[in-house]
Amino acid sequence: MTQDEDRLRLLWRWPAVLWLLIVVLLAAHQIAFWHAPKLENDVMALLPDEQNDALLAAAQQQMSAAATRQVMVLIGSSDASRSLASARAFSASVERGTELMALRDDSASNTAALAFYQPYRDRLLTADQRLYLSGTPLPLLAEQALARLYAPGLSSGPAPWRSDPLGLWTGWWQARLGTGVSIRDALPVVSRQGIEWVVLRFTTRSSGVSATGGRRVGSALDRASIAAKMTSPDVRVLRAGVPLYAEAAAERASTEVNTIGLGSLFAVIMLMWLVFRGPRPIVLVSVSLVIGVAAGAAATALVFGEVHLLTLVFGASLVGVAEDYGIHYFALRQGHETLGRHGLMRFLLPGLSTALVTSALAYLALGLAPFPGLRQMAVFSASGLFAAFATVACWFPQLDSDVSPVSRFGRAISRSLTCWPRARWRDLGTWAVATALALFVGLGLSRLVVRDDLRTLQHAPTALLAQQTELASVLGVPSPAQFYLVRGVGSEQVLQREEQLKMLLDQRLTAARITGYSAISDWVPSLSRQLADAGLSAQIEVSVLARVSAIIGDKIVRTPFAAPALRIDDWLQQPVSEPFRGRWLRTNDGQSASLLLLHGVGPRSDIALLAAQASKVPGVTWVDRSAEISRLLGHYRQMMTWLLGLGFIVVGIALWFRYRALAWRALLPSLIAMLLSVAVLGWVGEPFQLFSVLALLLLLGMGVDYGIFLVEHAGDGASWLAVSVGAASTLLAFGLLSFSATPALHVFGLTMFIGITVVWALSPCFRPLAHIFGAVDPSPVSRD
Amino acid sequence: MIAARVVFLVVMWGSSIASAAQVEPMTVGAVVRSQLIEVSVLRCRFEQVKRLQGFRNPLLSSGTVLLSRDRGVVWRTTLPFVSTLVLTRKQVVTRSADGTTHAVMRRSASPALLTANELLIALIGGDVDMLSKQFELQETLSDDGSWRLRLVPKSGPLAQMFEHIDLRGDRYVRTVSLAEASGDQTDIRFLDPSHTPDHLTASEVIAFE
Repeated sequence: MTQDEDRLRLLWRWPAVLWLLIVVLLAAHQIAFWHAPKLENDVMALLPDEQNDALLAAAQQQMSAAATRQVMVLIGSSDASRSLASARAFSASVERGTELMALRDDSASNTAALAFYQPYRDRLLTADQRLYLSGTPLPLLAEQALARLYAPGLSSGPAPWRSDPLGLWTGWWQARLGTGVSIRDALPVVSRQGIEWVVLRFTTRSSGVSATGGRRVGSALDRASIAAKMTSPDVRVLRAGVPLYAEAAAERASTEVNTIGLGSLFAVIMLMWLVFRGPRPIVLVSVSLVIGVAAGAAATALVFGEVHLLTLVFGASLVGVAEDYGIHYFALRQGHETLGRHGLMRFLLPGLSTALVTSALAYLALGLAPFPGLRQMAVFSASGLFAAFATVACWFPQLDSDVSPVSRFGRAISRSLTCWPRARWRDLGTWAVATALALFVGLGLSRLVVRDDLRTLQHAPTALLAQQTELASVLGVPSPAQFYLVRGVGSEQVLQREEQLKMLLDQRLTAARITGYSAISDWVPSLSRQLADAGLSAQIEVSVLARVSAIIGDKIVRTPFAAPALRIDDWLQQPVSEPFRGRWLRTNDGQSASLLLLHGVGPRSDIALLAAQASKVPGVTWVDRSAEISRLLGHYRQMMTWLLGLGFIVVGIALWFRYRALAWRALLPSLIAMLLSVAVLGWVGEPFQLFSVLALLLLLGMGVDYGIFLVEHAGDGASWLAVSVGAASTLLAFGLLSFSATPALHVFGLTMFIGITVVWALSPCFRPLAHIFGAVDPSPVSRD
Repeated sequence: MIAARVVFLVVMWGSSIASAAQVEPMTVGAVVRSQLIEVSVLRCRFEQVKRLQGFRNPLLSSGTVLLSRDRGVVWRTTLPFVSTLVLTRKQVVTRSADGTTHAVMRRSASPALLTANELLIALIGGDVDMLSKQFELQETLSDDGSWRLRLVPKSGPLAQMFEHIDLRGDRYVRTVSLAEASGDQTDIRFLDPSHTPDHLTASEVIAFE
């Protein structure tokens, strides 16, 4: 036997050295990767991009690109000058930092903008002004023009009275600025219910949020808020923006990775110390896991170019399954001392490989779904599992000592297998339990609710949400998720269609519970609209001037206006169009399109009513990214359920090849555990969603491992020890995951918690009687 | 800035109506401040001459002014036509001869009005401190107690609108001259100022409604 062991030891040297080389390369890659981690944390990146519509894709790209970097801040007090002073202190503090850059929107506030639009004043009318001009008797209009002319002091406003006797120009600008908005010290100030809010806009200097950087934008804004409050203690500061959410999500994710990761590590160490006494098994199993996670991250980075944060969280958890391999090895040292370390590993390899192959198959099935995130997880977990397996198989026999590590506590667990009940065909108790379980599962499943809401993926901090809601009520922030795409051949058609849509929306603002909209044609009306408005204002104003001239005994001539119309191409060249340029799209085939944004879209808005307006104007598409994502989530939940079924069959076939008639014993506990955990979701009222299915897939991979260990070494208490230690540490790791604030992770954790408990408790019930498969086992099974 | 342009720089008369808190007396304008008497209500007649580009004749108008520190200004033109302009904190309203009113603008929609009123109140209150934020002040005092105050906009939108504004007065502001950057010129004379009674009468209250 020792001769055999010596031969094996020599044989083992080559794979061990080879694996060492690979691990060194891996370490080099990881050091480079974490030096500048390419981590994606946008949930949208986890979703398939199946847009065939290039223009629509460009529109959505544009919207999310703009939204992901912008931060909006409102600073308010009852007195505008105090608000402004605080706002200046706030900006100064932000500008001192490196995280954010102030965005200046000069589209409506500077002299250049005024000068640019001035020649076209006669053709720029608001909808209300059109009604006013055509619906007011001429004598009354003349009287009002006269009153303006004689008003005390300066009355002409931005345009001389002669070129704008009715003061329409000011009204048009006010409409562009928005109701209740004025410009002071070149900053927009919004009056709402006695509070004067100064609007500040910032953009993050770096795109994306670094996972390791913490709350950099948030802290910069915190510092600036303190500066603002030093200036005036009673000012209120509201902030909103995708970077804040992203940061909060990243921060929480990293906190959770830390708590769950550390919690899991601590639990595993405690457990292994209890079972295996010495530090060696703990260190070696940890090494196998670290290498597994590193390999997963490296493989994912190599294949996809980047790693999604959620992949990291999930992948690391999935690779945690690999601890079973190491634990299995150390548990089976007990009672197999005669085999030697290398002999034992050779003896274990068939079972470990079966476990690896089945788990890897179950995880690789994830990659069948066209979700980039799921594919990342498939690659991450499968490669991670393989690396951990390779570490166990190549290194453990070399690095282990000859002392049997199992403690008295461990042996007690091993012995408990003999007392565990076994399910028998002709046993009343078995059938009673089966009937009770069937009832529980049946009723639970009937209560199960399915929810594919986008919110199951995200969870925003309440404080942020409250600020966002208040900010939106003050400002009417455009929604980045819901908007209209207006298409046409050439710019004129697009603008005309926008105007048609705006007329429909004007009548439905109240019914749809939105506060307004923002369109390109607000700034550049269609040529036909310009022509009509120029005609209307000329006709009315010439008559008004004639009447006023008669009254004051003068001959006042209307100032001539620019003959050519305001054209979108000229406008796009000007700095005034800067904030809107991204919303004007063109394709090579002569198609143009624009984005018409909605303000004040909230939970109470009538989305269906808004969506219905799109069909009334040709070329208009209603885009609702949230609804689309929810729909996709549902679609992929269904698909994943099928993949789960497929994975189950594949695993079953793989098991049949090795265990034939005994295969069902390794498979059935997992099936029951999956059904039970879904039933529990139904009982406790947690929704069934994509991430529940994901948990079931993981459960399948792990549960079948337990079945394999117990069938492979039938009646061997050491296998039972391995299963128990593995299940307990997994339970602790995923038990923590169910405390996650992210709904998706919470459901995932809960499903795992129940499933693992059940599969651990049930697997030994289906263990075959010893020696049925024992022909593989060359040594006498230890029986204490 | 649009806001500032729309400012109805109504009246630079006015004295009187006391500015609530003059925390930091400044040297500039101190003389003027010491001359003006403090009242809460002021009534007077006005004569306005506007000389505008593109007009052959100057535009002459006259009427009465009612000023309340609490409520705002009623600018009642009687010649060459009858029309009333009411400026309060909430809105600007024109009232025709037949009594029909038209809101020119409401503060809720157009906070520009707030800016206008803030400036107006500052002027009326003789708030030299506030004026000195926007304007460079040059004051000249004569032996007979009359004074002249020249306001030159420091920068920004006001500078684009005004060359300068001249105020003359003694215990009251007597004339205001606005020289606009466009070349337009407005001169307003205030006549027969009175501050008794020192509260609004019933009919005056109605004028603000």
